[in-house]
Amino acid sequence: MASAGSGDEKAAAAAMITLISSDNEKFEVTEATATLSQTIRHMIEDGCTDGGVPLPNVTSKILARVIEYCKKHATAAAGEEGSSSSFSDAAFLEVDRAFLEELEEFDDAFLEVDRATLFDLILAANYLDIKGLLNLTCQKVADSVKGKTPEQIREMYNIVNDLTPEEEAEIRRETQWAFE
Amino acid sequence: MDGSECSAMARLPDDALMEIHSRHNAKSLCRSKCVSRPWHNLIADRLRCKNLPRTLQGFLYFDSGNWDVNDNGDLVIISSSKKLPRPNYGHFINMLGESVPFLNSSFTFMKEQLDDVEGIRLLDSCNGLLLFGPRWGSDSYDSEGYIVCNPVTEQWVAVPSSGLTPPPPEESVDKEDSVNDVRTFLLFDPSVSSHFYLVQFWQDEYRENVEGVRTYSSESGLWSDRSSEWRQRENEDGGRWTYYGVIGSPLRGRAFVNGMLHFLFYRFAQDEFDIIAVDGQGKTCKVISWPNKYQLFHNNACFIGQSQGSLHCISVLGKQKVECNDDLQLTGLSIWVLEDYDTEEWVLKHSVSFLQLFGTKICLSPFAYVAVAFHPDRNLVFFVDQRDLISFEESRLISYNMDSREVCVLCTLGQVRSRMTLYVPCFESLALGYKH
Repeated sequence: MASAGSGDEKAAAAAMITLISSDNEKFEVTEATATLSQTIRHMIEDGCTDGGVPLPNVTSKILARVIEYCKKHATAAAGEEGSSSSFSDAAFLEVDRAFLEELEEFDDAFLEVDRATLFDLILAANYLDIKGLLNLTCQKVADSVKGKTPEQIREMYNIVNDLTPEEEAEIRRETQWAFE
Repeated sequence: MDGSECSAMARLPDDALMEIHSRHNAKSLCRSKCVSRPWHNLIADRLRCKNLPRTLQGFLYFDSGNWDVNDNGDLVIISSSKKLPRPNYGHFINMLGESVPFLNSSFTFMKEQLDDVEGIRLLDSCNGLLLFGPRWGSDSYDSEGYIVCNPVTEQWVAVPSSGLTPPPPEESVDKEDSVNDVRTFLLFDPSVSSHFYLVQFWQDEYRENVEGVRTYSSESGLWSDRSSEWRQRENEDGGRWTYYGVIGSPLRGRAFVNGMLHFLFYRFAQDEFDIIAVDGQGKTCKVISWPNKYQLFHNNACFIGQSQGSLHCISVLGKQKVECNDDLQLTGLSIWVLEDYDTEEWVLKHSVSFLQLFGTKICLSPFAYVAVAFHPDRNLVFFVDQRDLISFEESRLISYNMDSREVCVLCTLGQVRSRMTLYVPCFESLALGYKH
C-alpha cells in the first residue's frame, strides 16, 4: 500500500496523476483515486495537471496517508457502481455489507494516529476538499471533546484561554444548562 | 504537549474548525464557547450568522394518537371520544445533512412526563421552545396544565392549569370538539428575554365571541385573567374581531413578527380570514386584512408565517369551473409579503401553479397538501404533499424555492403523524429553570 511507487512508469498508460508534496516527493495515483479530492477534480477538468500537481501545503508523510485513504475509498465507490447487476439482490446486499464493514474497520484503523497527525489530516482534507476524510477526521476531534469541560478541552489541545474571568463567567451564564 | 501539536490546532483555518464544531451536540458547543476567544467568536458567529443553518435545523413532528393500525395493517381512526391510545413521541427531520442534530428527538428527557399521561400533543412552537398540552388526566380541559420545553437544552417546565374551565357543553359534544374551543399560543423571543408567555383564548361553543383570555408569564409564574380588559377594549374600539369566527390552530400557521404573535381568524359569515396580532399580555395590537380577500377560494388553503422578519401568507389561486358552475377549480398558490407593517401594504411576492408545485394539473383538493413553514431566512416554502393520503400511501415533505422555482423532495413521511413544525434551535436556558 502507501504511495504508488514514483518510478512505476508502466502504470502511467492508464490515466495517472502525479501529486507533488511540499517536500518535493512525487506520488502517482489513478485519476479515480485523485478525484476524491474536489480540488484536484477541478484541476483535471481545467486541464492543468500536466507535469504534476504541486501541493505546497501537504507534506509527503501526510500525503501518503491521504492517498491511502483515497485509494481505499475509490475502490469502494467503484465497487458500488459496477457490481449491482452481477449479483442476485441478496448476494449483492451480503457483499455490500461485508464491504462496508471492511471500510469501517479501515477507517477506524486509519484514525489511530497522534493528534498532530490528525490535525494535519484535517488541514489536508480541507485544502484538498475530500469530504469523506474531512468528515471522518473532524468527527474524531468532535467526539474527543464530548462531555469535556472547557478546562479539559484546553488542556487536551493546548489552547490558551485568552478570555477574561468576567467574560468567561458571562458566557457560562448565557448557557448555564450546558455546564451542569 | 509538544509544540507541533499546539501549532496544528492553531493552524486550522476557521472553516476546518467550524467543521469540527458543527459536529458537536448543543452541550459540547456551548462548552466550547468557553474555551478561548477565537472559539467563542467563531461559534457565536455561527449561531448568529443568518446564512448558516442555525436558523433552520429541521422539522419536528409527533406520532399522532388519532390514528392506529389494526390487525390487517390498515389505518383506522380512533374514535375521538376515546382517549389517545398511547403517548406521542417525537420525530425530527434533520435538514443539515451530515452534521449531528442538536436535539434528541426521542424526547427521552421528557419520557416520564409523556408516559405519565395518556396523551400529549404539540400545540405550538416559537423560536426554539415547544408548547405541549393539555395533559389529559381529568375531565376539565387543562386541569393538568402545559409543558414548555427546549429540546436542545433538554429543559422543560410544567405550567400549571390556567384555572379556566369551560362549562360543560349543552349537548353531548365529544371531547375532541370541546378542545377546539381553547387555543393556547406560546410567545418567546430570546433576543428580548429568556422568559416566555402563554396566551390562552377560550371561545364559546357557538363561536360568537371570545369568552375568556388568560395569559401566563414565566417571569411571574402566574396566570392573569385578561377577560375584562379584553371586553372593555373591545367596547372602546367599537369594531371587534372576535365575532362569529374561529381562531386558527397555531400549527396551521402562526407568525412571530415585531414582537407580536400573529394568528388566523376565520369569519364564518364573510367566509374570510383576518390576521390578528396580539402581545404577551393578550392585547390585540392589530387586525390585518387578508391580501386578496375577494379572491379567496378556499379557506383551507390559507397559511401564514414569518420569513426574513416579515409576515408572509399563502392564498390559493382558482377559477370557477365553466361546466359545473358551483365547483371551483384550484390552480395554484399566491404568496404575499407584508412589506410595510404599519400601512398594511401586502405585496404579491410569488405565484406558482399546482402543476409546477406538485406536477399535477388536475383540480387539487385543498386537503391534498399542507403548507408547513416559510424558511426563516430564505425564499423557500415547505409543504407536505399528501395527495395519496386517501390511499394511505406515504406523503412527502417538499421544499419550493421561489427564486429558482425548484421543487425538492426532502423526505417521505409515514402516514401516522401530527402536523409538523419548523424547528429553529435556541441555546438560552429556560428562565423558569433558573430563577434569579
